[in-house]
Amino acid sequence: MNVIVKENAFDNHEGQLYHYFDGEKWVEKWEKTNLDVARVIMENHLQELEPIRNQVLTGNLSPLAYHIQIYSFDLKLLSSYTGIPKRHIKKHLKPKYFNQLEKSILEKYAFAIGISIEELKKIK
Amino acid sequence: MIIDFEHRSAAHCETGVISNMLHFYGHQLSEAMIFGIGEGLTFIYIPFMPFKGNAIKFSFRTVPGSIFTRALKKLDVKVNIKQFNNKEEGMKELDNLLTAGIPVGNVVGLFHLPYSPVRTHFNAHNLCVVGKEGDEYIISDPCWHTTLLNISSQDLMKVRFAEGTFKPKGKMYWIEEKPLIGDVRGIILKSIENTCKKMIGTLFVPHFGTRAIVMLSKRVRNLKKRYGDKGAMSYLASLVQVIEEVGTGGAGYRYMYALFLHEAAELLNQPKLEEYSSEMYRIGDLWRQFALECGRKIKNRTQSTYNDLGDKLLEIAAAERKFFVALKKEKQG
Repeated sequence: MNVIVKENAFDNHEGQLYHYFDGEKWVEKWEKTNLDVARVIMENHLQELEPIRNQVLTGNLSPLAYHIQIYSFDLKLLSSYTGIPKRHIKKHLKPKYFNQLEKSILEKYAFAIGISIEELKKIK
Repeated sequence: MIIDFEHRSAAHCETGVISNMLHFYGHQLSEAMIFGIGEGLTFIYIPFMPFKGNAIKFSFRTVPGSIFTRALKKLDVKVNIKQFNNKEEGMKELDNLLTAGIPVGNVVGLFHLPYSPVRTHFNAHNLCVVGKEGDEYIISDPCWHTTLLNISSQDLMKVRFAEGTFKPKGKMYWIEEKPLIGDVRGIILKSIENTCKKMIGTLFVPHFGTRAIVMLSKRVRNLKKRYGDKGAMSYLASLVQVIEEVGTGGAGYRYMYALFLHEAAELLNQPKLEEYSSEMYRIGDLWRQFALECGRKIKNRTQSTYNDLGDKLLEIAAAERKFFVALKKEKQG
């Protein structure tokens, strides 16, 4: 499972409730979820993306390709969120076409992935 | 406008929402009781399924939604379930129900949920909408927050109509009329028996029940040979996630079932069930220890090999099998 942990994940998050038995009676106890393992998965995931990131930096792929991979979208999923046909999205993976895109289409992509247009145009 | 709805936190979203909704209509059924009656406890391992998004590869509970339908059918509560093709229509219908003073349960996706700590395409989270103030909805999320929350209507629409596998399509459910729940004792016995059957498993399908744990242990032994060093680590990591983090975590479900058996023992006046409860609690501890060991293995802080992890799983499988065979015999007299 490719999980992206948000940066301020636990600022207003209580964790997980467990039912515990303390010898006499049952108690409910909130426990902070340990996201160490999720972070390990996330780091592995980011490492796997290194080739794609390089391709974006050298100009073979558009930033959209990187965002699709990092948030574990695929063409079908993105197409159903945005309403843009899959063959068009495939075209937009190339920088040549991506740089010519209108704002309305960029907005659709940004809305589907849940980031702003400025974030969509560049990579980390 | 807010409905006078008591928000009680719960370990699991689905059972928590049902329990809270029944509490609104004046029935005191705890979360664990719903979990037991809905036959939620199970173990599923399907090795040939790719682990992506919300695919069920390992699972410690039945398919999302099944606890809900089973429990409410057995309790003879009239519920209405509705899905929509049109987004605006779905939101309008929700508003109508809220003005009539009915709390509405919703199935939402996690990816766009503003307060969710992770971004994953999992489309079976449950929450209860209890009010509307201007452009904001007031929701009660029992498994992640201790208080009521506000969420903008645009966000709610986005999560209700999330895309991907198991599209919720704005799925919402509400209790139609004030339910009359009578004696639950007969139902409890029946559901304990069914859970036992499910866990012991059938001969030709080794993917469900305790035999699946044996299968998983075999796979864990060969992890390094199959996937290499790195692949094995990420496999273990996803396994730990399922045990500790998804839903209440696999161990959490075992604790919850132990609580159910404890409550059943009090209701049925059968002190023998209390012993089973403490045994189930021990099994939950075993699962957590296993997860801890896996976590150490991932971070390279332990000497134990993949074979040791496999042995641990075998131990758990044996304990669970013994437990459910004994419990089934007990119920049959």
